[in-house]
Amino acid sequence: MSSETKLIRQGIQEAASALDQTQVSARQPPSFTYVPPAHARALDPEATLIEGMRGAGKSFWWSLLASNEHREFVQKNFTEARLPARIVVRQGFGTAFSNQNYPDPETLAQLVQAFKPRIIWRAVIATHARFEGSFAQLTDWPQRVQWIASNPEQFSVALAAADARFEQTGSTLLLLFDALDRLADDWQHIRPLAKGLLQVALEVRSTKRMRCKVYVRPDMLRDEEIASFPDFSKLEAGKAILTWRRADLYALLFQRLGNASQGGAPFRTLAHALAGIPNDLASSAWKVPQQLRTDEAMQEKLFEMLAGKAMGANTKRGKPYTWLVNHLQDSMDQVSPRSFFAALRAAAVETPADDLLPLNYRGIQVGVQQASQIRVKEIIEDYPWVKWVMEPLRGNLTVPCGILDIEKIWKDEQTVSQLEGRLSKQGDAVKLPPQNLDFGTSGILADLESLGILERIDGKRIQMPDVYRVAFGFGRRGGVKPLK
Amino acid sequence: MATIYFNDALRLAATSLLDAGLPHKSKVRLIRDVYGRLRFALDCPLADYPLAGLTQLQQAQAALGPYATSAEVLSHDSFSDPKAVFGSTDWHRTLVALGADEDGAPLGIAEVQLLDRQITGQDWLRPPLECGAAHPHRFVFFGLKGGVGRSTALCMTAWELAKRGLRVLLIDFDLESPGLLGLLLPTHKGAEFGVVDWLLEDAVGQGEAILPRMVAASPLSETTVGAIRVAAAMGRGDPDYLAKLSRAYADVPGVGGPLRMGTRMRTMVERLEAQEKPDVVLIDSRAGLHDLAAVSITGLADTALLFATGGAQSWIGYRQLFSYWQHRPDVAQHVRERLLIVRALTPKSDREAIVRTFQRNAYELFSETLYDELPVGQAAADVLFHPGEKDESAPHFPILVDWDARFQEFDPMLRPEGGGATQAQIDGAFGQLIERLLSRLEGDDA
Repeated sequence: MSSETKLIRQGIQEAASALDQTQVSARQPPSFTYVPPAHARALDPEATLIEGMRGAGKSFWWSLLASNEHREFVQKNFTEARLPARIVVRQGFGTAFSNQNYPDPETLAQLVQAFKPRIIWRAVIATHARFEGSFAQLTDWPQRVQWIASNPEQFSVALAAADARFEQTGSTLLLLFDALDRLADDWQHIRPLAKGLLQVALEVRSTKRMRCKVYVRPDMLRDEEIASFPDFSKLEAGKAILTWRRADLYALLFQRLGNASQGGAPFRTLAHALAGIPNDLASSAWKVPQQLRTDEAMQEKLFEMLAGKAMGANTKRGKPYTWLVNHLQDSMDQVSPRSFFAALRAAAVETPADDLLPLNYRGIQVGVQQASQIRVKEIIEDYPWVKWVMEPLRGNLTVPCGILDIEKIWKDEQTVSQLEGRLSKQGDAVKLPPQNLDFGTSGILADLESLGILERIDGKRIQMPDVYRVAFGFGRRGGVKPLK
Repeated sequence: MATIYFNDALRLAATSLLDAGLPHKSKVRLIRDVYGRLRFALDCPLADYPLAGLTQLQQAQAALGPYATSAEVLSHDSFSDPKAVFGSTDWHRTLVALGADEDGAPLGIAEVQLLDRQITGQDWLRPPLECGAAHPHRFVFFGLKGGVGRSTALCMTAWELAKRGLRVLLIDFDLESPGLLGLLLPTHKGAEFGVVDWLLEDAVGQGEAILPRMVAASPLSETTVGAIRVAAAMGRGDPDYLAKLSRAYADVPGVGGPLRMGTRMRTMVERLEAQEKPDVVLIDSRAGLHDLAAVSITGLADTALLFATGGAQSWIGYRQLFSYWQHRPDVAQHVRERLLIVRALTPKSDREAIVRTFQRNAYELFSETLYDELPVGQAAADVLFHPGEKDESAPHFPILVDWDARFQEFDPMLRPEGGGATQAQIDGAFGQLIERLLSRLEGDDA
């Protein structure tokens, strides 16, 4: 074991730890930013509708783009994102509830009683576009929304004037909208607000210098009451999707590790020797070489230097490069960067100090299990109803199991009928019930499936990926039973 | 009383052993003879076993009707060398499903120690005793039926590995269909003797002498960095192959008792390896649930490639084989990690759906028979083996070999401009297979 090994192990922890919470993207070092190809398209101001699963990076980019320092790093190093040099980025809705940049959920709840959602969102646009004249004098949201409602024609005029000002200065206004499921406490109120936002986002595209970017989960886009207005197809056509392919996750790891204060230098030496390109760290930030972004074979070679070749004495139990990602996949084959880094950090902590490599396979095994616990904790924070429907099943089922087995337990425990009552007692946490609760147990199963927690197979059975199975307390059916 | 058939006998015998009143249960084992008849066998002198228990066992044995030889219960006193009998490696912890009660509720599973004396097939349950000497990685190519492109895949594998500089030894175990490896070795270029000759000559003590004259170089490897050495089933221009074949499977007297065919085949492979010093050994196994396949898959393979096409016959046959192992958990644990399933003749049309269905079926087959059940909240780890459905390195995760008319009547010596295959076409059809095998080889020294 060399001192480099120890340094790189520390570097992996450093690279992984900054990705703990949604809000941190603006707090992590800018050089820790990596833009996968699919995400570059989603950063382009021309992409208005951005689809992303839970954990795909919607809030991450929402927060990062609004930070000048981080955006500059992207502009400089990832030109494929086509971010214009002069751009003003503002947040039009999201989880950092401030009432400054946009009405918070409580304010929205009041506003919708008197105004159409489109009017509310136009007021948000007008505020960030810095409408001049009487509008500029208004200080709170009810006044602004009232102004828009009373002055429909002046809105168009003022919008054109604002557009012209941006045109003069050669600048672009980009407005970001995230966390649409926090618009209100129940779906009945979320749906019209989300639909109105999408309509206004489309409207704004008629200007030259103003663009909206709306981050949406795929299940919301499948919701007829949100995504069925005449011109929705225009938004859909230009949609960008945030996905993380295996190569993207590793490229992100390399980008961060190469810039870690501990272990960055020895890791860069390894990477450059492998890629066969000179190791010249000219500026303060290192950029992961092109070959190590997309070439999986080369990525695997580099990761072998960190984690070895096999998940055991030989490769019959798999290779770390593929094993790690495979075991973090949800039922839609997606892996969130946060799960990936949670597993890597735990693996680095678990690997014995005197191991010859920065990571060993036992560490990776433990890491994956811990990532599973973290994943479940996160999803329950976002969707408390998941806890209420999964908890009665804990310890009672072995997957694949029959849909009927689940439904029987829910029936016996009166899970569904108690669900809404329990959610409303949650205090100030999220109170949102499952989107398809109206369809009973099959609606709940559909919602769990769209979160990637389980999968319905051949219409009768339920399968569950290990990343959820372990932490939710299910067994897995196998032909060889444990010795009694 | 209902007629007792083969399927019932073991279940009845196992059920009778569950009786709480039966003394020293751990001493009571079962021996099944070649006709399927059962006897209880006491792993102690008869005098050490309580008389009441003995009577109980005698009655239970008599109740097996035609599947009982006599009422006599065996013990150490029944054999001249009880140590050899009771210490045999052919005893297996065997799981017996106890059927269902009158309401159809399953009665669970009993565990017995069973010595199964069979006419053939014993080798399905004979994994090698810990490794023995170090040997090159052995890949066995097996299919439940012929015509799935197994031999073609094997030839292409040999060629591709030789192109990468490896010294490849290919051994043809498909004695019933000699000459299928013509792709690699035209018959007139074959060696003087074949595998079948070794089995005969070895029986009369001359195996060693013909060993150097059993292996020929494939013309395909004339242009490759590595060599392809072929031990064919049949020697060049054999005048009397069938006369030899009909004797090849005989057991041969040896110093410590008869040497069975499985043991002999293993010896031959080891000797060929010692002589040829290959980097990798490819074995073409006979198709179907035959003894030669049993020897190669259970007894020889480091990796057994199981070819399947996804039709119902594939799954039925493999399920029979896997559940045979499943009921002997010690064997199942030994064998399962060496298996790799191959989706042969993968069509180009409707490919995604076909592959998805195959993947799912393969996963369900493996998980329901050979993978460990994972308790609540427990992940698969060192002790428990149950790779995830999408785990690309898992035994069930299919290697896709494409259907391509080009390789049906294929002359590898032909240049692409003359109608032969380009490297890209070979990679297209066999690339996944080669990659997976290379990674297996690489993993040996991880």
